[in-house]
Amino acid sequence: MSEVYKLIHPVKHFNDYISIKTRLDGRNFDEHRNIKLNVNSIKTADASAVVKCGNTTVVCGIKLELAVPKAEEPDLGFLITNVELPALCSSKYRPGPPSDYAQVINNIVSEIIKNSKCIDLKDLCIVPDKLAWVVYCDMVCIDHDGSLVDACIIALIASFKTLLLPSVNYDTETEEIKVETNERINLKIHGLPVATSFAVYEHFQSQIILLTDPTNYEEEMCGGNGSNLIISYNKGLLCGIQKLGGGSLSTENNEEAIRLAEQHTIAVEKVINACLEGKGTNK
Amino acid sequence: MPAADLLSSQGLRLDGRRPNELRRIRCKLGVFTQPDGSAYLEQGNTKVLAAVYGPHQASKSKMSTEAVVVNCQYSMATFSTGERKNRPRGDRKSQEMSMHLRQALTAAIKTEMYPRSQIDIYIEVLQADGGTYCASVNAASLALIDSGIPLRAYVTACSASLGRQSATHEPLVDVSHIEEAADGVCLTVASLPSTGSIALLEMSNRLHMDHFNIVLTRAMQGCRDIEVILDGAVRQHLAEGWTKQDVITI
Amino acid sequence: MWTTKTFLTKTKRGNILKIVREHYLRDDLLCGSAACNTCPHKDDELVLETSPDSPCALFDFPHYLVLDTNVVLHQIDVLEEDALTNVIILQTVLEEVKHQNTAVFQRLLDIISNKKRKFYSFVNEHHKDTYIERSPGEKQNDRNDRSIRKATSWYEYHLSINSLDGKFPKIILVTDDENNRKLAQEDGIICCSIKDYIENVSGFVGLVDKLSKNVMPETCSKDALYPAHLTPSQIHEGIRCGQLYQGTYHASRENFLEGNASVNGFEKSILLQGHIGINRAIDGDIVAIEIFPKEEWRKPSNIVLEDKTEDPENILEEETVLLDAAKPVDNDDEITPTGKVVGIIRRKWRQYCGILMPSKFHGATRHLFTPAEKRIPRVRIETRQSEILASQRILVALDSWPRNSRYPLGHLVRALGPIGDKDAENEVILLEHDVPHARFSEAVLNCLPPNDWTIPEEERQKRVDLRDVCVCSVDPPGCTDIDDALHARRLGSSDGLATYEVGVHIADVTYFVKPDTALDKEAASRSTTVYLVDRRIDMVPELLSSNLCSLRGGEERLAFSCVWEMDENANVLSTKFHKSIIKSKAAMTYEEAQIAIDDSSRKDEIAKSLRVLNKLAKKLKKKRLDSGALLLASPEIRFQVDSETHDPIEVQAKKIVDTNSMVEEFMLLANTSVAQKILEEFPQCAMLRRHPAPPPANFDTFLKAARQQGFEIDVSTNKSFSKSLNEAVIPERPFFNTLLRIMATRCMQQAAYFVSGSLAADHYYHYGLACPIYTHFTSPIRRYADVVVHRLLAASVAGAGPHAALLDARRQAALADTLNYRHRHAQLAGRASVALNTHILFKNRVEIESAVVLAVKRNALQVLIPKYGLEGPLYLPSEKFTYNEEEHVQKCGDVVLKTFDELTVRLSLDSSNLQHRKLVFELVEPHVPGFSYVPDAGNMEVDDVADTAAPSSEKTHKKREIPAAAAPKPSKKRKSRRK
Repeated sequence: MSEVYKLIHPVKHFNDYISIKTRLDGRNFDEHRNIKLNVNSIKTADASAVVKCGNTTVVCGIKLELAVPKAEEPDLGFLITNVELPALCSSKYRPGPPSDYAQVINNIVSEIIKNSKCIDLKDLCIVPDKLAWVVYCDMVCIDHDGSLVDACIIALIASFKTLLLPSVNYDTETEEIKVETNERINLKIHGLPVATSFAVYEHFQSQIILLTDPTNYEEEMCGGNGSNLIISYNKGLLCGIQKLGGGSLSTENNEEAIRLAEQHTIAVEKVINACLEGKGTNK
Repeated sequence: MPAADLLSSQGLRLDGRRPNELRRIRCKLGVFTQPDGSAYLEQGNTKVLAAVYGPHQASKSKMSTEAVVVNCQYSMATFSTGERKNRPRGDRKSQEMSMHLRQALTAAIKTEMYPRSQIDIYIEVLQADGGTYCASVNAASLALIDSGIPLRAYVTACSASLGRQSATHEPLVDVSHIEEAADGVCLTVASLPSTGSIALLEMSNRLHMDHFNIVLTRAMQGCRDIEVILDGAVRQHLAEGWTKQDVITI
Repeated sequence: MWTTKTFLTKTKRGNILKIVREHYLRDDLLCGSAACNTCPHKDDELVLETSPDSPCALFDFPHYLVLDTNVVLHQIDVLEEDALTNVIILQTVLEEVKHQNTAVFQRLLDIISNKKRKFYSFVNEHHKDTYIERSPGEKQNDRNDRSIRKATSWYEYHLSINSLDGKFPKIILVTDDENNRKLAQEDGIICCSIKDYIENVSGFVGLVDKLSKNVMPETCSKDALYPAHLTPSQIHEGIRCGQLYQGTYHASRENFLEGNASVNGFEKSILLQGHIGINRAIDGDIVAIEIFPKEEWRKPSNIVLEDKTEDPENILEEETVLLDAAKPVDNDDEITPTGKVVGIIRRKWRQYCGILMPSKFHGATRHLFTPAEKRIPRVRIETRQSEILASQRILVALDSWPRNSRYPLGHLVRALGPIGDKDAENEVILLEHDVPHARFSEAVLNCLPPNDWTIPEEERQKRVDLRDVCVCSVDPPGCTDIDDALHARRLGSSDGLATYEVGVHIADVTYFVKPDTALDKEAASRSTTVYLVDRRIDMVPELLSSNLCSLRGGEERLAFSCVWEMDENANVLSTKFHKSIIKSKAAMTYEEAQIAIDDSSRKDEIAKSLRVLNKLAKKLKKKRLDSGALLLASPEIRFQVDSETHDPIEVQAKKIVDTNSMVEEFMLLANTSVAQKILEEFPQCAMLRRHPAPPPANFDTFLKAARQQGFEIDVSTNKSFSKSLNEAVIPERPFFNTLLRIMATRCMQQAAYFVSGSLAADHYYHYGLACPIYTHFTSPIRRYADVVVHRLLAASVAGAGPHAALLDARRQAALADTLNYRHRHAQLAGRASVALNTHILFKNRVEIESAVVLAVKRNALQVLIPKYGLEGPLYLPSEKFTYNEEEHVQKCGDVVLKTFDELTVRLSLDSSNLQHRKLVFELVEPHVPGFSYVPDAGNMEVDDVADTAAPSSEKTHKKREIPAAAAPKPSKKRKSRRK
């Protein structure tokens, strides 16, 4: 019965739920979905992570390559992030070139990583002007159920945490490259950026409601293509706020969102650390 | 042309399997919420996801009044291979794979049941270690079953190669990447084992006619073995899966 | 599926490549022991006995042995003896052996497959209880040692819990690694070194002699005579930085303290001198070389030094003599880059034939061994049978060359027979030339048809019946492996020219030799029949070679026929190939055939057929020569052998009659026709034969010599070469032209088999025959290449699918390499056999003969005796003769000796060195006072040669000891067949 009602009167159906201060999946407005994280499951990648936030599933794989640094920035390596939304992940996407939305997400993720300064590109340089690492970070969404950016960032950071760079000896005279597979060092990561998505819903044109970690359906109901508000933190420092459509925000709303995001950062950090310590996955 | 060194003198293959043994297959149905049917399948180190959307109304240009249009897309994650792939899909190899998948899967689907409609089948290879086509077909078969689309029979695929132990030739089932790379033959068969029909057959490298039959027989036997494994997975999923699914939708 | 699995992640980051492999661990691998009652063995899988008797006095309980990798690698000769049984070979060991030495690996597999030996190979790497993962930071070798120990403990445990009555064999780990033994003992494993074990084995005489000597670590410097070799990583680093060079070491024949190494990037090869400079390199080894700065470069010493030390003390001497002699001289263009060996990259040791030089001390066990090959140093071996061995030819394997030993250490492999014994000497020739000559195995003989085989009915129906055609064969006398026969008959005429049908019928060996059978593999590995003077080493068993395949007169035989339609000008009008049945009307010798042709009274079919063939052959030959084919010559000798002792009693140069060339022409035509056909059908994998054009530099000396005689030879193309050779005739010296051709032959490259796909089409050319493609089709009884060609041709004409391996271009190319290698060695063995028999022939005689000069060397003339086709050096003492390098002449007073000059020489045999007997040539005419031998008319029959040799020349005789060898034969020549 409820399914039919949802189909015929989607807005009314949604409002009914909001009125009784619950969400369709039974969460409170400020409640996150469960996060499941697993690292190094893709053996062909140099580092990898699979993360599941509710149903949203993202696989991140990192591949390393060697290249010559750019002439204008001879002491910097390369960090290339890419988010893919294949047709597999949702009925919204058709096969073909990346959709606009995928490109937007891609941009947001790379901005967050860049602004958080969690990776110093100088660490990726081996010999200035001669040799540097190229770190390709490919994130593939295999199930899209909202709050994609959150999941991408978690998957990416978890992958970074497990990435080991082999030591490379470069002979400047012979230009010969010798890679030591046995000596490997962890990539230095400064802080731990976390993104938190919100859907901003205007309940009967009067009340602004913030839905934390929205599902795909919630995102659609809030009129947006994806989440409306993304707040990113890196160890207590704000490193990005994106507001994309949806209802307009008041200052109180904004402060509340920042507070929630800060709390979420701590929770996510716990999950990542627990996973890396091999204790399995939990919230 | 049997490649050297695929079989040790004790009759074991490079990874320790016997010639007639498949790699370990692990699979799971209904792994995603968005598609109408989905499955995850591991065949040794090859890991594949399959998702099925549809049947839904077909776009005008493709629509057929006779039968459902099966649309396949095969894609490999950039990190799925030893060297980074630059294009996950759309390259020639993937296009070819997509086409071959469509041919094998169309053979299994009761296409006449859904005229004017379309079924989308998407494959994502997360990790590749040889036999990605076979794993894709097997995963897609499970995803189709998960979606409830009526099939004529299970469609499974398996590859086989030829090794040499002293003087005798021995066909090898379910070829892994190192065996593929050893420059031997690789015969890939997609079949509907319960009906005994072959949906697709492809061979790389050169094989003498004398050996063709034993290699084909071994690949067909592999298809039958895989069917048994898939069937077991489906039954188990149905036994425990219904209740879980219901909980999620409510 | 019941396999469990772990990941063995191998990360190879050449350019960042991550390799992931699966590794399955199994629970269905059997232990192979009859003492076990849990493993579900089938009867034939029970390799190891329940309670084996201990052969070793150290252990008085039943036990199995586990060997480590180095024991297998070093002691394979001991393992091949029947002494050790009930041995477990772990997969870890098997893989390591395979990677390090494929020859030993093959021998190990042979032992394992021999049921009597009770060697069991256990796949420990895939067994769930014995697999271990490499721990972080652990070296691969340490991991493998640990893996061996793990498997040993497992066996011990496995047998103990599963024994029925509490009795079970123990396991003994045999390893020479002390550290490994220590670790094993901590795990409670019984261990033992191979030396201790073998020395306590009784009942096998000579087993201890086969023990490979202990290897002393390179780092140990106690009493070191030689500098230490660099480690592989140091060598690698050195080569990478360009400080060191890699090269193959070639020892000098004349001077045991000198050698050189060819190195890429240097025009001249690098000179290596003295014990330190050579630093334990042995001929053929791949070595790392440090090259001295330019001011220390020297020139080759040009002196002869033999290792004569009688006293086997470990000291090095003679250095000063050598180094003084080789003091650098300024402004000398003979100065060559000089260096020293600093490390060994790969040893290329094989087994060497030679004789034992027993120690002077009675009862000593350490003796020296002198190899027959002069380039190989003496070897120290240990044996208790020195008295028996002293008079024998023996085979020795090298083990190591530690720093504190003057000589390399080795061990006895086996005795070959008494010195001077014909069979033993032949054995030496065969072994030194790597000719497989063991008797055919049971498996091979089982592939043969019954002795009374006749052509089965179904073959009769498949084949063209040519039994009525007048086919005959023409071969040298005494030939029993007749692989070709011919026929010709008149058909009619076309365009006013008479037309003939000409057929070449080749024995259909492939009917009997089916692909991939034991027989086929044996034939492929032998590649060719080897002809020694008194012995033939068949490629296929005698039943085939001398009977069922041999196209004997009057018998029905299977053949593969190539039939042409030709007009009277020998233009081929059509060609067809088919399998057939023939019945040869007569098996003739060349001379018989010649007589039949010449005898105009004979009007029978055979004679008519032969005359047609002869007529057409002459036209074919003319055409061939016109297109640029070379007529080359080589002195071939033929021994008349005593029918009882098989000792040669007379030697003479071969006679050539018209019919020789008649048969040859048709064989060439058949080979060319077949080559075209198979190339057309199989462009990628046809087995062909090519003969590259010689590089112009090869001709330099030859042209100079010809010029001295007043002839300009044009070598720019084979056509012009052929033409100018024909014109270079001196009427009063009929042998001159032949001599010229003999010398031209030596400028040629070797012809070689190859697979068509492996080369570009313009490299297919056969220079000597001047034909674009060529192959071997006509002698499948004695050449394996022909067998392959037969199969290809059969596949292309009969439509029967070719066998899979035929189309495997890579395998075919590998086969072609083997064929070339075996052919070269078969030729060399044949020549060595000629030399041996020449020595036997001249053992008790001395002759004075006329000779010609083939070449002028710094200290000798290379002379040829046309009557015998014998060739050898005639040494000229430098105090009498002066050598003019520009002109290539030797002068003494007014006597000038140059190439092509005719001389008279005295021939005798110098037996002072048992290993290297040689023919001695002494100058008689022109007379050089104080040097030339003056024949004493009354004293022609001289027995003791050494006494009569002129004292002044004795020293020079010992200088160069090039064994008299017949000239290399041009490829197109039909192999001479001897009884």
